[in-house]
Amino acid sequence: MKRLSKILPHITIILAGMFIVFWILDILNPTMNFINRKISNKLLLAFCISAIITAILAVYYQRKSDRKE
Amino acid sequence: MTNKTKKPMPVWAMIITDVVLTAAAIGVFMLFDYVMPQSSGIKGEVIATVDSSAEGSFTLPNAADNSQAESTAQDDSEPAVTTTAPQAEKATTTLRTEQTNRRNWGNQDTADYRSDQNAISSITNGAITSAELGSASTDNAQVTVYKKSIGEGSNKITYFVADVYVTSASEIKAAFADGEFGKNIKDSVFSMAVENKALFAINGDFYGNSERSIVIRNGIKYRDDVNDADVCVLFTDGTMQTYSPSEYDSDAVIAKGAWQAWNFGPALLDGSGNVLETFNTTKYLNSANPRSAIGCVSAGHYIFVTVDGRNEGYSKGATLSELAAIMSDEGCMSAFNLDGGKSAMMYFNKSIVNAPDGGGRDLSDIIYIGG
Repeated sequence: MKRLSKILPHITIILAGMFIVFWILDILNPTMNFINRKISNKLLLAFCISAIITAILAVYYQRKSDRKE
Repeated sequence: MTNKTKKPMPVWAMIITDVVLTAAAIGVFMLFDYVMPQSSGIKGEVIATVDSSAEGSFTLPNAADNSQAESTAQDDSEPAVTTTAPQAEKATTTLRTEQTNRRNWGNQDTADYRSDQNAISSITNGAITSAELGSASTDNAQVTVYKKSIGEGSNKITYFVADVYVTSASEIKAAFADGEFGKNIKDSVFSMAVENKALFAINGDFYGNSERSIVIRNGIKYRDDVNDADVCVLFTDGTMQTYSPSEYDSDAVIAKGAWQAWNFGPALLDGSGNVLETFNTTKYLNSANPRSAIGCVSAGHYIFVTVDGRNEGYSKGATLSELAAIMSDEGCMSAFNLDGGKSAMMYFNKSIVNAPDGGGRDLSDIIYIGG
């Protein structure tokens, strides 16, 4: 659990970085169609799942630390 | 017993690691999705044939000469250079019909961009320098290629025009890299032209770069999934028509006898030789770039244009408005922008005649004559 909570934020950052790059490339050259490709849709799903778990863990640890205080 | 606590990574090292990992992930994505060839196994469905009675539907301008030789590549001597007088101004704009339901490619940037009237008049009223590079013919096709330029200094545009006459629409052929429909299967225009024994060839729409598009080649339908770019259809009766994505009706087009269909664009002319008032494109793609385009003067008479670019003093490239004006100036009634940039290449007389940006690149498909 602890290891997961360490790795997941970085996975989220990496996936977010990828989609920012895709978004810029799509503006420059839409015919390349980075965002709407099948593999991009799968990456987007992975990004959402990773973001949700990261957020849940963040809330969990925040509440735990609040209780300790 | 010592209590070992692991020292956390410094923040700057963590940021650099994340950036490097992001770059690596994008690299792997590109490698998988844009480089590795992926055969589709799709053989296509025959939707149109040109029967023998349709062969010879149109006559070549010098049909009498064709009986003398199968292929007559001419001219090793210096090409004759002529300068055409500025042409009389004509109506060059028209409103695009049907503009409904225009979707985007996955961003909010694709839209209708207004054609640039100054750029259009600079082409239609400018002095064009023209030199014939040669002509070649077979029993069923005749191709004459010209090198033309317009403008001076940093505004100079150099382009190549192929004036093509065929006896039947089936003489306008297309070929895939390695003869196979699939993703990331690429080859050079030169190799594809040589493999298909082409007299003349030009780059196509790079269908392999997209997962969604209309792909009809030589009367065979390989993919029928219209994307958000315009579609150009060459019919078996020799006519050519362009469609916006919302106008395109696959069943109607197939019923009419679609021989070739390209999904790239945008459409440049309105079907009557007038430049469209708006183009379905993006700001970036609307800027001056190397270009290739196909145009139809009348059934059996086609114009192919390749514009060189990104080389100041030789050729700056053409905006879509300038390309549309060039196609209109060449007498086309309808015209369609094909893949451009490094892809813009024209093959004639066993060599690439233009100067592709960065030496060109490998592509998915070509349009060719002969073979």
